Amino acid sequence: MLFRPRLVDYKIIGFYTGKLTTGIGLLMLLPMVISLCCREWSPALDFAFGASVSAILGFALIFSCRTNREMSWIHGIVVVPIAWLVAMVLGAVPLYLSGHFASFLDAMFDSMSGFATTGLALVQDLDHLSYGHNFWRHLTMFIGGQGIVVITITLMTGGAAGLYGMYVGEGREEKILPNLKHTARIIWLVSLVYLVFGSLMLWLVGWEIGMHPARALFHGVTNFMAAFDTGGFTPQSQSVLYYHSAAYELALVPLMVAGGINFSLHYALFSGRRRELLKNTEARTLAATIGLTFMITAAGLTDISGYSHAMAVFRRGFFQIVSAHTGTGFQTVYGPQFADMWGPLAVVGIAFAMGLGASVGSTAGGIKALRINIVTKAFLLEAKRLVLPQSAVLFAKYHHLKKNVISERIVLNAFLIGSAYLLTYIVGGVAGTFFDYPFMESFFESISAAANVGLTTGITMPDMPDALKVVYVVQMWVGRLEFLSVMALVGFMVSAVRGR
Amino acid sequence: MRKTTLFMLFLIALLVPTTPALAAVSSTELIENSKAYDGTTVEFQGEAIGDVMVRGESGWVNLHDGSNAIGIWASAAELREIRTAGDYNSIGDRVLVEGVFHLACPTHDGEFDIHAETLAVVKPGSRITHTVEPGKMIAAAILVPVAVVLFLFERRRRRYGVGGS
Repeated sequence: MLFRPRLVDYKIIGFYTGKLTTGIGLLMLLPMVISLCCREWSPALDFAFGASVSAILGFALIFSCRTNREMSWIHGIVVVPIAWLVAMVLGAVPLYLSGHFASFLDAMFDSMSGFATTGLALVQDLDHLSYGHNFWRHLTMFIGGQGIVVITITLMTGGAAGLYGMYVGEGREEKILPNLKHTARIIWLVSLVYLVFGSLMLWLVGWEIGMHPARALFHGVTNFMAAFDTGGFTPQSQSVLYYHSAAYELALVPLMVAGGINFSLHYALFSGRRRELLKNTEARTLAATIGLTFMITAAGLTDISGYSHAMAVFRRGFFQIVSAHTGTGFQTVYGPQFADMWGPLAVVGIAFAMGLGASVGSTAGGIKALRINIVTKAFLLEAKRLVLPQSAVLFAKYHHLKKNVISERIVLNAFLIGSAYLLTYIVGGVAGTFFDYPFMESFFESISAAANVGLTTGITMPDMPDALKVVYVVQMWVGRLEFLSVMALVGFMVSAVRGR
Repeated sequence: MRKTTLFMLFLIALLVPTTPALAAVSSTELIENSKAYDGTTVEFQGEAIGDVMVRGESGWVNLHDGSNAIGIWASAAELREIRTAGDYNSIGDRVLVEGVFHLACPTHDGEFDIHAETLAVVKPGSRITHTVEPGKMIAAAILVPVAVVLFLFERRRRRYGVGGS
């Protein structure tokens, strides 16, 4: 029997959504400061407007829904998808006011793309966008990559069960430390350490390749956010093609890989347990699938593309594979080149890399290496069971910080989430073909949206059908949250209508 | 007699071999028909955007023609003729290049680029004046104080520990 939620349940959800909403407003003060420093008065007003609207809405929810009741697991998990939708709408306000979007839907598309660390973009005339707005685009990725909820947990007190529900609802499963707040702080500490060193490295490389030092610094910080949070926005319209530099691409590769690695593994490395990197099942699987998909792509490129030597194949192919596999979405080729020049085999390699994704507990999207490993081992185990005596005791295990035995529940979880991703890829692909886009490009774009990658073959343009924009927005949203919290929200809504 | 002379001159004009003038191509044409243009000399015009990246004797500039930006590899001396590159505050110099287009440049590890043989600024860039819309100012002037008051109210409430229902 379904239980209809009571008023207090709505109040708890409203109260915590309000808290997250005020947080979004507070974060808009950062690009406002950037705009003021750059004497961009109109953009500064856009952020003042956006921050005020967020704060007023947030406080209105806090005041009207205030309650002493603690947030439970289900409240926490339902708050997350709602808060992400609210963040999408509010994050779009300053973007739309910039005048660089054809409609508010386009601004919401970019806002969700940023928060979900996807990188597909509908912004127009990006090369003349203000520094403030450009910074906000990248900051949404930095916030969304670490998690809107993770920020809140860092600052909040009380409601332990509900906070854990929120944490899980945002696509994270494991706690790095026993205390959730300490876990959230570790995630931010790791990210900020990488922010300093990563931005510094990109700044120096940008300066070295001929950029103005101040612009190199801006590009360094924004590109770091896009690389480490596996987002894929860039400050210029040409993506990474803009730099025409192997050194810049080389500097981005380790940042993308770092973004695709589980935060627990980062913490283990920070704590001096460097051997964990070699033993970790997920890191090894990720390395293997990067190698495998690169070989597929390289074979395709060598076969039919116009690249005349091995270095060209390696530079273009490897960068795109790392970008796809980690879910970043940086491009060093124009979108239409995938279909026109790279050929089917190379594109299949890229599509596989996008669909597989990087690590659980990272900023990346997609099915993820650990799940691939678990499901593969479960299949092999079942195959062994068929040929060995019935009395044989069989089990599989994986190494993640310690040795873990693969239980049926773990296999089921990995299989269900993997299947949900595959289904989402198919739905988006069918939607693309419904709007008369070619089959291969439709599925490529769909995988890119649902796995939060951001590579495009050229379908994602301001003039694409609005319905397809909505499909991609939903794909980005459910893909980033890994389905669980969205399904909980749907269940909550059903019980609100049909429950007793 | 005059008609015959004119006719003869017309025939001669048709028969004299002429150097075909380069047709200017757009970025969309280059991207969509890249195989057809690969290795040919093209004329491309666009706004210099972002940075002029001089690296030793040569360097890069990206030219945006309204649809896409294309990377241009040119000599440092020619690149220094570009005074303004487009960004939020400026419209960049309009630059005309004539050069060899590469779908996958053999000297730049497969770059999609044009190696400029000649580069000229055809229209200097200019500064963009951004006006602040009065509507934005009025909206911000109303909403910012409201948000600040609500923030202070909530802070005061938390300090004195008033509970909820």
